[in-house]
Amino acid sequence: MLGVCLAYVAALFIIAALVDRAAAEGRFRWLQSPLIYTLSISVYCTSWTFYGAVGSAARNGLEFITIYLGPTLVFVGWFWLLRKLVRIGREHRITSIADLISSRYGKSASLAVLVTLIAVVATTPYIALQLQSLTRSYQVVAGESNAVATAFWIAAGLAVFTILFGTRNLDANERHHGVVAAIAVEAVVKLFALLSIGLFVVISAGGLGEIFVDVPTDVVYGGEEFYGTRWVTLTLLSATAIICLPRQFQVTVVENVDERHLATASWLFPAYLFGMCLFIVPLAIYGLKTMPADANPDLYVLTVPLTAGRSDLALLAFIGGFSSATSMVIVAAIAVSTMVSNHIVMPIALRLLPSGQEVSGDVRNLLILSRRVSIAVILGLGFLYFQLSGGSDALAAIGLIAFAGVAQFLPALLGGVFWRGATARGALAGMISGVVIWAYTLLLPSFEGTFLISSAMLEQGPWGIDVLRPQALMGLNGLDPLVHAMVWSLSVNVLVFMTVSVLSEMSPLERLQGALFVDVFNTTSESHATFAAGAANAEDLFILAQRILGTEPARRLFDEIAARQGRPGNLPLPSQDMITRLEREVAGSIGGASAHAMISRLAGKAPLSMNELIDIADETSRLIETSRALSEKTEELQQTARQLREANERLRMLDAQKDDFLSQVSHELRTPMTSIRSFSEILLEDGSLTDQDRARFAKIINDESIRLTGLLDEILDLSGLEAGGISITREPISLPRAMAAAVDTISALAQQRGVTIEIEPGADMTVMAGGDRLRQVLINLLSNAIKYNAAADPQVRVVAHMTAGTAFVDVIDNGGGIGRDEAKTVFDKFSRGQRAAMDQGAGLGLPISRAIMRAMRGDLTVQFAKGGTSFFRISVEIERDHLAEDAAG
Amino acid sequence: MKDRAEQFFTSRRVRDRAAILTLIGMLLLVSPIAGVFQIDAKIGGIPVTLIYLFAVWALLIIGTALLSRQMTDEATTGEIPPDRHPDRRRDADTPP
Repeated sequence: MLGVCLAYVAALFIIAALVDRAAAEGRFRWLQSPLIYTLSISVYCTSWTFYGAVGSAARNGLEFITIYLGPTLVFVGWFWLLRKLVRIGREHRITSIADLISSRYGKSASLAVLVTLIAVVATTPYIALQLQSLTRSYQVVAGESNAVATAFWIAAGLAVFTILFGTRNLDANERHHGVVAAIAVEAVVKLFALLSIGLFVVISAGGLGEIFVDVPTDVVYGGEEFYGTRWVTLTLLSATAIICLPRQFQVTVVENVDERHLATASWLFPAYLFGMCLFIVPLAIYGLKTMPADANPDLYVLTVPLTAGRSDLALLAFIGGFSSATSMVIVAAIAVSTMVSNHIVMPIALRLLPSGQEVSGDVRNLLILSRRVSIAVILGLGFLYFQLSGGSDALAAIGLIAFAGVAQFLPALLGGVFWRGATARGALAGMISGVVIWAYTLLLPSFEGTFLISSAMLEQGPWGIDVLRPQALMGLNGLDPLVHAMVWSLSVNVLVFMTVSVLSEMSPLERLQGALFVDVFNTTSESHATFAAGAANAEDLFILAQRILGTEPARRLFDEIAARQGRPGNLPLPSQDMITRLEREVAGSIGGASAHAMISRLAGKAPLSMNELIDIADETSRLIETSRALSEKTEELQQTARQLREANERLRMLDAQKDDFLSQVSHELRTPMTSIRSFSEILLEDGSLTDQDRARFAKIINDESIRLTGLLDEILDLSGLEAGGISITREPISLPRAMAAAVDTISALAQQRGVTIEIEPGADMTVMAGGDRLRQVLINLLSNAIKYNAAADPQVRVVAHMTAGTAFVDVIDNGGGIGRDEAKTVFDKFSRGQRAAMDQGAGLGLPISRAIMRAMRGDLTVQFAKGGTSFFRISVEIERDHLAEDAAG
Repeated sequence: MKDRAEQFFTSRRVRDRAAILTLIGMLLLVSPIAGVFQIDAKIGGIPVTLIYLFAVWALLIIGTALLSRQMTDEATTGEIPPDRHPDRRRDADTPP
């Protein structure tokens, strides 16, 4: 029998070793599959399930099933709680449930210690329970032997196994691949064993229905309180346990490699529990019917096949039970030892070592050693507990008592991840009061008057005070002791937790962590500093990282940070980001609180102040503000650039116009100058000229000079008008009179050319204009109309009319006007219309006229009439007073 | 490919279904409603409550399995970022 056990353990050993080696070499990717993850969660099913469920079903009917319905409901609703816990665990490198709670409440060391102590207190009896069932089952299969010696060797063996595979590395995030694989194998073994025994029973009874023949349903259903308070309490308790038990937290959150595995586990784990429970009731009923009345129902799984003479099945059952117990002990020991070493040993070591000592002392070795010692101590405590309790039946109830103990974590845990207002003081006060009530109402009474609380105290209350009776607090009678304890401890816990939270102040770090935990899906811990930047020494930090993470990982980490800071090959600058990152990495090994304490000691820095916290909180909004300002600025710049481009374009155009103008001016000037020069040269050099010729040539020179002067006057006039240097004084003048004067002036030319001019002065309009200038424009237009009119019977009409506020004078000739294309250039300087092509005019008349009109706030335009003809129109403002008179009249 | 709004809507619906499923589970397993099936009768020789409990349990498992498949489909399209940790990604590639 001993050989079988040793062979089985050896097989597990080989599996764990192989997997560890394979994982180190990067093979066996399937190890990180959702199936392995789910199987490792089934560490929930301990020997308490394997043997105890049948016993419970035989005694209390269906009640046992609540222990599996609670976890089922939690996993069905995984999306709300478990997913968040797993995400938080990954984001913040959580190493245990104590680490999670302490990290959430501002990395509080005292909370971590409290949670660790509760975990130790709740786990020790549970380990004792496993030792008991292992010993008993061993006795059943191998015959009577020394129970204490057996239990001792089992405990020692488990300690060695756990130390070998549970403390190979420090970083909890590196995970225990070998152990997880061994646990998964054990999960398969125990399910297979229980299903085999169940099938054997069903077959030997001749069918499932046959088992229940002659069995009253009351036996199956159990007590009176079916679906009552105990049912609800047990379901709640088991739901809490699947979250809060240190070993469950270890496999579900800490050992999780991929968040998506949780989606698979959400149905596969309930399915596993379903399989475990499937044959529990038939087994219990069959046992009750076939076994002698004094047989222990807790051992039916073993004794039923043994009685039937199937020692092979009994062996299988034994191995199944062995698997259940060992896997629980191994994982629980790892989880609790991590907590003890991170939250109790480390802080004490930190306090004992003089400041700066953590750099020179080998913290890594200290941690591994403390973890190994913790494992041995926890198993030793379990063994001690088993020996002291003498393997009594009272131990069987310890499973639920342990559940109720760890349930005290629940308010702080749920409040921590869903309520920002939860404070460390609140969590501490709530948990302490809950645990005290739990111990007083449930744990101590479970010793039945042998430990701390006497039987008399149980019966009459301490000092005979009835209202303080442990199992009927405040006279709350008639409840099941478990329900009673749960109602009191949890409700007081929640109430104290919330009340103290509301009344107490939060440290800045607590606020930050609270926000990060509650909003874990919207934030990332990487971007948030938990330290004010200070004068940390990069070398000291490196030595610290080396001590805790190991030389190679520390070097890799620092290289990576240095590369990210843009200084590869050097030590990174101890910036805020760098220290935060380092703290996070170190926290993955020794827990958040210790990492925080250690690095703040080394860096010698003040903790985060409220102002800096606000800065951090504002960081995001400031970033948004900056980017918006930046984009605004960019837009502004673009607009300015566009305006500059436009201005540049206009300048370029004006420059071209100026060049054009100059070349045209010089050309225009050159023609008369050439003739003046040539004629004056003839006059100077040719002595044989007649007086008549001389007079003629002098006349030409004179005419050209006059023309030149006129041209220069025009150019000066135009540039003066365009530059605004010449202002025209506007005064009220009569439009008809101005028209008449202009026609008078031009009449001689008209007569000479045989052109008739008609005047249609319209109403007597007074306009605001410079009288001489208006006449100049009219004369220019009329002279153009006369000069360039090629019609057989040339006629010119001058028509005045008005609309609101503006008077118009149209100069219309019957010469056909100008074309639309020509109209575009007719106001350009030195451009001559086709009709004027043969003329000597400089082509400045129209531009000057338009400039004059515009200077008088009027205009000169080309209008197109029907039949393709066109005419010129001047517009000019009507005098206001006159307009008013008009309106009045 | 679905657009973002459609994706968001679907994921909300899946989440709602998961919530309903959890509620149904609670109502059928941990409330007086469950007591309705505590009757002194057997079907095929098996007590009714036993059948009832395991049937509800099985249905919960099937329902969760269907929903978790829908959810992981979304996870791959970005609903749940698979991992944002650079070093964690390295772990996944080469386990230590």
